Amino acid sequence: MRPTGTTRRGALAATGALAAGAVLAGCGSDTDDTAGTRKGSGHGGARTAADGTSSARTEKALRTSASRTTATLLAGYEHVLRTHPSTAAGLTPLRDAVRAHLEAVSPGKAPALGTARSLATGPAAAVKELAAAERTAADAYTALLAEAPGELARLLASVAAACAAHAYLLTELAKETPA
Amino acid sequence: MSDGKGDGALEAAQAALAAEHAAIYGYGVAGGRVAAARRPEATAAHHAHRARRDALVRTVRDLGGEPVASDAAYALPFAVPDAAAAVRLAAVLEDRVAYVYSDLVRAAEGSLRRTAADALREAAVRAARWRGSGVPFPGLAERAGAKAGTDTRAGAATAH
Repeated sequence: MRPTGTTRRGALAATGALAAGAVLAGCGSDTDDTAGTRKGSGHGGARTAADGTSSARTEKALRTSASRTTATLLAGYEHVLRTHPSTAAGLTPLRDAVRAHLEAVSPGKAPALGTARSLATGPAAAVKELAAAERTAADAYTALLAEAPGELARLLASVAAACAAHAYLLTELAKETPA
Repeated sequence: MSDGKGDGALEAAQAALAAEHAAIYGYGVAGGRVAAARRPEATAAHHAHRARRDALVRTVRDLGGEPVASDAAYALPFAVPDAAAAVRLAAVLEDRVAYVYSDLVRAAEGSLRRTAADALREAAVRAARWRGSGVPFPGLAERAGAKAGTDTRAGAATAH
């Protein structure tokens, strides 16, 4: 299974369309199972039900946004691993962690697709690029968690922390990687 | 929805404060035993945890609680006879702090939630520094079972 790593424009466009669709779908009443369970609990009346629906929509939108960030990051790893196989020993465990992040934050079963953009020519520069990408991702998750329901906020904080740790590890790895 | 007065925020802040007390004690032990080259790192971590502790004392008061005091001594998770064990201890201290901050993220809102997320992030980076590897989900005990470490340093030795 290789859900990412494509550099085709078509795939990127499709991802964008799917992501937009997911956000829009949140406005309807079709797949909001979270809202369904929340509506069933408590006796707060209409207001509670409305809040439940709204927070489910928020959760879905946040997860969609987070999974796009993660998919892009994962695509970056796949790209570097393909282009510079010598980095495999160092990068594979980090790539696997990012894959686990994607599974954890995705709003649905369908894996998001990401696109890798790289300017690096050598392996060391490529690893440095990944370090920067991890840092950017950490900041993106941190921004998202402000609006998230508690349990999702906790997950996003953990993933942000993992990305920050990855950024540190990749920076160290880049120093040991031949240019 | 401003300063984290959600249900359980006080309790989670108290737990974080207790964990910071323990981390400060632990770094007192670890700091004396790490190799000289890593002593500045231990000192910096020690200071960072003291600053977090002081901030949490204020947070707990703001939330209407009486800040938990530190214990006179803490049981270490394992014996720390040498520099290698001191490094392992430092990493475990960061793990434990991360666990409580993830709970504070969940319980709090607004600026307190953000502060907790930042503290979690710092703890995860320090744990990765000490170990030379990371974990996929810092602070999430329920996801730690997989034990899928991300050890780039061991990998780097064989990457040519």
